[in-house]
Amino acid sequence: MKLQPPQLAQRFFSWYCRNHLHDSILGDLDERFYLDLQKHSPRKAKIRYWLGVFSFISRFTLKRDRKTSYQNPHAMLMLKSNLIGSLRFLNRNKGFAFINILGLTIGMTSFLLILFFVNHELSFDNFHQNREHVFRVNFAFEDNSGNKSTLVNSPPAFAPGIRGKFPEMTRVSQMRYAMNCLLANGELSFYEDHGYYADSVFLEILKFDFSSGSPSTALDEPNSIVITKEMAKKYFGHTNAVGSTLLLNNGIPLKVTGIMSTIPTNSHLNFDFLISFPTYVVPDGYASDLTSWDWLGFHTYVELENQTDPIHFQEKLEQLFRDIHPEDDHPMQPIVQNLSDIYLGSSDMTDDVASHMRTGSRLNIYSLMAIAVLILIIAAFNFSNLSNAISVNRSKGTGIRKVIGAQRRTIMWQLLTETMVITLSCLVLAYGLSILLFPKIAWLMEWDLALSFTKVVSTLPIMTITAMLIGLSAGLYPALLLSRFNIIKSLKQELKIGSRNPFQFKNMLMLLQFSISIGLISATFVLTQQINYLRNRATGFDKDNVVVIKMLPEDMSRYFKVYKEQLMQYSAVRGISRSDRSVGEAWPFSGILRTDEGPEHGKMIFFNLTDHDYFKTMGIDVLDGRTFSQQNRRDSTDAVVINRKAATFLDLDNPVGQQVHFFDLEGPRTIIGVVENFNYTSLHQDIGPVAMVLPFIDLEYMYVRFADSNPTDNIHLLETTWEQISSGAPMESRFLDDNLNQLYKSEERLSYLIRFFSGLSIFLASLGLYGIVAFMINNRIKEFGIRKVLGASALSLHLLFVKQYVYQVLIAMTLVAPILHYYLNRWLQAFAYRIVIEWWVYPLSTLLLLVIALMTVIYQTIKAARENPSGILRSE
Amino acid sequence: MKSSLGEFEEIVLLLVAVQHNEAYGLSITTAIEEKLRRNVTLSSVHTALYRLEEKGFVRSEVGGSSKERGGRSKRIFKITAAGKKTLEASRESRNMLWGMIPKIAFEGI
Repeated sequence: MKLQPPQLAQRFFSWYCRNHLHDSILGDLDERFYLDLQKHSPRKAKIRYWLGVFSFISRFTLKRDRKTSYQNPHAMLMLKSNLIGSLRFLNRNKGFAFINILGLTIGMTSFLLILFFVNHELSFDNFHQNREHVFRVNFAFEDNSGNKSTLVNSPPAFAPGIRGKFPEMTRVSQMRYAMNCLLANGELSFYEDHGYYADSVFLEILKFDFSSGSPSTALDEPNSIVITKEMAKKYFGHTNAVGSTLLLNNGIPLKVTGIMSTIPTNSHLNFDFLISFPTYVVPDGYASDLTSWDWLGFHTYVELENQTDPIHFQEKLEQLFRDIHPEDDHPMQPIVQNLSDIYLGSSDMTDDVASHMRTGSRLNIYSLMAIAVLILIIAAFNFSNLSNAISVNRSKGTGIRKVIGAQRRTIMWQLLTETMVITLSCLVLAYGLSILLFPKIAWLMEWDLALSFTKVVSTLPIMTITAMLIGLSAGLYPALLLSRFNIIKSLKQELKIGSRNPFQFKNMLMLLQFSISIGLISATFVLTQQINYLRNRATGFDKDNVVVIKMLPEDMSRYFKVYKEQLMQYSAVRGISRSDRSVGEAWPFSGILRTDEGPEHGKMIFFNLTDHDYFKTMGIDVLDGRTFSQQNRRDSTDAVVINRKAATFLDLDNPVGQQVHFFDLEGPRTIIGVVENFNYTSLHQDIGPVAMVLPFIDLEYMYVRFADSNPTDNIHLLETTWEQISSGAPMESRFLDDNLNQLYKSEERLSYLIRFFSGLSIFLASLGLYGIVAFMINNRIKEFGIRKVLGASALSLHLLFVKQYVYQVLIAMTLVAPILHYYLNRWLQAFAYRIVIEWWVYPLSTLLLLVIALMTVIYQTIKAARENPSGILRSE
Repeated sequence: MKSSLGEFEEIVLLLVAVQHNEAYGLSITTAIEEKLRRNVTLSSVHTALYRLEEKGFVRSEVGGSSKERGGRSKRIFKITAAGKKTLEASRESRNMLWGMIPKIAFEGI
């Protein structure tokens, strides 16, 4: 074997010297090496070679050639030439360009729209500088049957009780939801339900901008109110309202001590006004007062020192509650929740006072993100596939470029510039389109946000990177492929794509597209079925033709009797009743105890106040005993009606006549009747044990059952009668079934969105398929002609194309069905009442996709099959 | 004169002229080693050549290759008009100086 120069030295030289001198120097070194071999030992020759390599390190060898001066004399000129070439190519292949740009723009627009929304959801409460140190204290408790619930509420004695007790806690404040507020400035009065009672410490913990007034003192005095700019305009016509007075519930004057700027829409607290906490008085008839450690009706926020571990603080609070009730096995458990986690982390908690805190859902965000990414993937695959396929059409041009002397890199750059130009212009289009469309979508989806310049700009980096990645990945494969082609072959246009190997890159992409489409269609089916199921499921009461009226409790006690008498004169009205909580709302808990058992057997039961006609009006069946009766005067202090579930819950075989104690009510109560189970709240939750007693405080809700559904007439009747008797007191009426459908709003919106996007995905997938098939037919039209000449039928020509896609779609189904089945079932777990996913959902979705996809194919194959073979084959 | 010529550079430039159309790094190195009996490294010759090229006294072009060179082509250096002029000027000034040496100066050395 002949001795060779040391390779490592060569490699080292090639590494440091990368200019035009490289070859001549290395050649000289090699040549000298062989001369040396004749004179010296191989070892010495090698050493001299190494020394030579090192001694060549100098400014001449280290300097890199400027590429422009050698390979591309004018980089900008080259770019311009590439651009012109691309534009000409696109112009010649208009269909291809159109499909690509349309598909990619749609994909990017959807992605952007969702990105705007998700960004907003993730930005909740981040305008509070101190958000890392602010926590809300929630309370979890377990009833005796082991059901655990978490409320975002806390007892009124809690905040004063812990104030100053823990050195790591710098501030604590509590709020009370201001329900049923009638605010008035003279004649101008509105019913307001977005407000809280809060103190100045609250404004120190959670800072909201004030446009006038001082946040540190505004809520100190009793009878003070702080309102937003919008509210100031509404009541006073201007924002200079500090010092003016608003009348609360026709009796309590409130002095306006501050005006707040608009509350950001990404605040979990959603309010228009804050009344100073000392103004709050517990209404008459409530069983608890402000010294209670059990009444979960307030919201407590704390601010902790910088370095505090919230878990440690939470343990201290737990100890506090164990100390208060040492005998209690299941004390209420305080849960410390960070401010930045409140919006998305509270979807499994309830707000017992039903204030208007905003809660989001992580699941929804994740689903949306997944959908956005999937749609973008489909669009990107289309783009990649089409660019790939069409690139063969330009092999001649590439061949000529190569003959002239273009290097592989030049050709790759040309193709990449082209895909980049397309993706970036799609990005620009997508931005324009999404900014135009966003208000419309936000309105449809009830997204409470408006786009701002900064919001749009903040998405730019991620979108640009995504677009570049799409451009790169779509352009890279054809660029690599095309630049590798043999010059002669590409000039003779002997290159073919369209191998029928299912594992070919392009076919894999199609398979994935089909999988995504099938997945989205199936998800649409399941979601729609579930929502319809929830809407139409028997709830244990008759929800049709009932109007729910909400009014101030004082108005209720003042006008109810007259109103009822007036309304009952009409034949259309079948029944009227009242309750404290409406169906569909979260019902509060109460402690309950059988009189024949010790206090350790106390249990938590859902609780409501209802009047005599409640069960008749709502259409709830009475199973045993009787319901409240007007004749029996003792019912109001002595009687309770429970549901079937409660009977088993209390372990009573013959409940009627048995006696129970309520923790919040005086004296024992006798169970006078058992009613059928009914879904008093949303069908996310199973029916729990319920107890109902006659009202001892003023009620809020009134129900009117009509004989038939005649929405406009019925509401008109209610309103005119109300005006005659009440001299303009506020009230709100809604149909009960509308009210209940509201409960599934979030699911319904998700289903709209998925329906929309699955449509989009089918459209995009078909678009891609259309492009590919059009191209393939174009390339194989001669093959068609020859087959026809040889006697192939039109049908067999169809099959030639269609077969492959049918296979692909079927493979896609088997791939996607198990994964999807798992996730859909997980989604359904959130509902106590749910459908079983039918097996045929997946084949049906597949069939749907197949039909739509094949329609796009068949249209083209028919055209191709009809072509006269002589016409195709003549020109060669 | 814009650029001056070092002693070593002058030798290299002369050899470029000597090896008319055949001069490249290694050939010049060998010539210096064999004809002038001077030890010189390959890289210093190359560096001198590149410097001469920078100064515009030589120009280079890609020349033939051989098997010993691993198929890599030579860089053939050719003298330019400016190079020729510089060499001539250098020679003239030397001749002039030689002519100015008084005979007595070399006597008795």
